[in-house]
Amino acid sequence: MSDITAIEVKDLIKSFSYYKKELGLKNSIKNLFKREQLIKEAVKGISFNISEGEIVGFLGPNGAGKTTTLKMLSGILFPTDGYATVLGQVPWERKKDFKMNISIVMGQKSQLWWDLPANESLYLNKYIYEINDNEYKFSLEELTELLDVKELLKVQVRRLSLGERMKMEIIAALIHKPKVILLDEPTIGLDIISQKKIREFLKFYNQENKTTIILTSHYMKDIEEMCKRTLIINEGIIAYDGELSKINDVFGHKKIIKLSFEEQIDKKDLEKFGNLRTFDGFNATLEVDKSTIRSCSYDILNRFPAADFNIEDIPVEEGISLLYKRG
Amino acid sequence: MSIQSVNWVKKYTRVFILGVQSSMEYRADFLLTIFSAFVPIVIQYFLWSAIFNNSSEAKVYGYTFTQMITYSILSGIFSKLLATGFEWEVASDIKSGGLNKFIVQPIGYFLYRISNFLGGKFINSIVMMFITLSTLVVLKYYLRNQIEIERIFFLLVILFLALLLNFLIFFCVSTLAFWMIEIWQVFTILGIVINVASGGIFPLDIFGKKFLRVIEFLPFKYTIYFPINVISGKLNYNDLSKGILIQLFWVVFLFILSNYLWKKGMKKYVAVGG
Repeated sequence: MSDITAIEVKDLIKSFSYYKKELGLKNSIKNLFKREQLIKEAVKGISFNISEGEIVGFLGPNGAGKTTTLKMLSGILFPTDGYATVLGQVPWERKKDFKMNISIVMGQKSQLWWDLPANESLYLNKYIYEINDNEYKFSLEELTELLDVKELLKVQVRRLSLGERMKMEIIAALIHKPKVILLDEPTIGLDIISQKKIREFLKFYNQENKTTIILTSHYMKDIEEMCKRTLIINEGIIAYDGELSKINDVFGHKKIIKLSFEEQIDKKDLEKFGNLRTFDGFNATLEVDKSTIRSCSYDILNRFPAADFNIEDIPVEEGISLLYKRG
Repeated sequence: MSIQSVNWVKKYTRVFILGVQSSMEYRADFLLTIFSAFVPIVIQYFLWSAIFNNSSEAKVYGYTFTQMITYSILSGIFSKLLATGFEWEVASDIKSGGLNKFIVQPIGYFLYRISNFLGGKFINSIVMMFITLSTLVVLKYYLRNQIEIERIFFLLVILFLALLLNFLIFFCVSTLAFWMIEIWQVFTILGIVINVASGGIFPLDIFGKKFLRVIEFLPFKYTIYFPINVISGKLNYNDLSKGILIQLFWVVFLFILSNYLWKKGMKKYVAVGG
């Protein structure tokens, strides 16, 4: 990773207007004449910088503004306000030089020709991106080898499985060696093995080619495995920017103690130590402040007949859902 | 030529070739397209037979029976030759975000569409031209119709311009999808109206003088009615060359219009988000 900025985003805002319609025929007719226009802010002023070669994950629930942000960064959407550059260019100016160096993969939208074999689509991309014969041959060889889809190149795209198709989409997006790749839900709907394969491939590709990658997902595993840095987006704002494993630092340094006992314990005795999350007489989960963890553990072990004792971090999922709620 | 323009030509040639390949991918569909040109011709044959049998005069709307049948046959073939269909694809690109890839990639949508359309028409047109030619020979030498077969070269030029014209007409129509959500019915209705106004079903002069005067100012009749009148000798060389100039005018005009409409639509598309 270098310190050269690949993507710069400042106070980016995108709002959409839409119409509301109440249920029923009467309101349908009413809507013909007078429609109440509403405005939804999908992205509410986000700022971040991404360095060249970085691989960054956008994590967030449905409708958080992840896809909208990617669409602005690829030039598909004009922002309502704010400013962004990708490789020093303003995406929505859509200069050829910009288009030649980026790529976007949308998990739910295909860029391949449905009725033709994948290699026809790829061959078209060779011409669209003006790649010379040798370079094309070499890239295709390499990518199909890595993703293990060499035999499938001649199969009609509509006959490919979802996972196979996704691999082809990724090849189509990488064939011109873009410097920035935006991936919107690349693993959506795939089985665990295909997900893993694609994750491994992207990670490898990023390390080999120093390509800057942004990917969105609502699978935490995607982000956790691939990205050092995560931006959590919720309701159009960035709720967190950093390493995913450190997300719990945001929440007042708590730890979790998991306990099992040899004999039944009184609930009240345990509640003194901290927030009791689960309890059934023999087993308990206790949320304790990090600073008091030593004394707590000592007291608990002294006073109760503990059979098993474990100190854990608060799970990352929990931190994320807390962030979502807070947003 | 500079490297850039060579690359540009290669790019759209490739799209053209893909169009050719796509059109051959479904062979049964391909044959059906050709076959389907003859269904309306058969219907028209029975329709006009009934009309002429019940008429006391030898001419109906100024046409003899054989002239009318000649018109029906040629209009059936030319309608199929010029038929579009890409407007549905454009609409679905607009509706489902398929346009996104054209925004992101260094390729122009209009040029992509026209290259793909012409590619898709390529084989079909060659087959259709053979059918047209043999039909003309049969009409002229066996059925003794008036056919100006030496005008075949002009016919080829005129039909090519008609193909461009029809593409541009329907490209303009397809941009409606930017503003209308339920576009499918509109396309179907406009498709029929445009076909009738082009002379794709009946010769336009049977609708009367007033109708003709209006249609004079529209591009539609230059797609089907005009080429048929050229080959059937209804027009002299003066009208023929005038007609070609008007065709050229409409091609330029509709090219400008379609680009304007497309730009307007894209502005909306980009604001709303694909």
